[in-house]
Amino acid sequence: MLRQRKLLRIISLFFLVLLTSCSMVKRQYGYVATVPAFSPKNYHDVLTQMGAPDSIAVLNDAFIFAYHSVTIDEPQLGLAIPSFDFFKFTLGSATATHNYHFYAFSLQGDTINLQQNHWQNTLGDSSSIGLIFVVEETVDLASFETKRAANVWGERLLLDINLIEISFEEIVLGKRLDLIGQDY
Amino acid sequence: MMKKNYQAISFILLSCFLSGCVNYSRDAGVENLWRQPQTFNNGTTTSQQVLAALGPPSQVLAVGKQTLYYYLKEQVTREGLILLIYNETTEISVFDRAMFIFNEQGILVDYSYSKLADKPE
Repeated sequence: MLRQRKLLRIISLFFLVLLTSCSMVKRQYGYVATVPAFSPKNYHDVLTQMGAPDSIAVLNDAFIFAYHSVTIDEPQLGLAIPSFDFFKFTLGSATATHNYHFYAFSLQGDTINLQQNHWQNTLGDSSSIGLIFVVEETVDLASFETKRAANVWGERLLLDINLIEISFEEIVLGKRLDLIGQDY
Repeated sequence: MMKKNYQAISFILLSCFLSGCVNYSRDAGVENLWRQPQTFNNGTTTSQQVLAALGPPSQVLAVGKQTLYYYLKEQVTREGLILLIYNETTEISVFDRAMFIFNEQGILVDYSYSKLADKPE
């Protein structure tokens, strides 16, 4: 009886130590409002229903509004060695849930195409070794953490005209496909 | 015996509540003055009035014969709760946007602000 209790205590302590590193890392980039289904005749209808878009692209004879949000869930399971749990080994995987709305208009502003999509993709599995009390990221999300194009647009235009790939005139006059807004 | 059980339970509870908190936020982009009371009217407001009210836009784009001003403020907040048995961090990036479209004469044709979430998705 005494031996069983002792064994139970050891097992309980072992699982308590194992549980010390369970983590959930959540991220949300952007927000797409949930709106009732609608059939926009022109871009004014889309702006009224959806608000300002995340991204705007201009082509020769059309322009596009894109709305995009990404939610990332990264559950982690940490493993620590009993009685040496100062370091932990963490296994993690991340899943991204995308919500994407796409509206294309003629240069006169009439709707010529629209699409809405909702999908998930895995961002990979990985592992890390870290100190206890530290929530380590196990999946590389660097592409989500870069500066937004809109916030460095003016800075890029200040580059030497001979060094930049695209001239200011080409961008402003819409002579090329250019995407502005968020670029994740 | 009872005393030992209480001690064990107290130890486990104390371990569970030993915790830390993480919290930070950062901003990038222009000041979102469009969230303050502003009066913009389609057909009458000019691009100069928008510039005077909101300052220089983040980006400017030509859409056919129309001109588009795009304002962006990025707000990132991160909160974390670190317990012994469970850790959780949540990072939310909000892209607060305003968009104004002007005709060839610089008169406002349409404008819109991004919709804000009441709570995280």
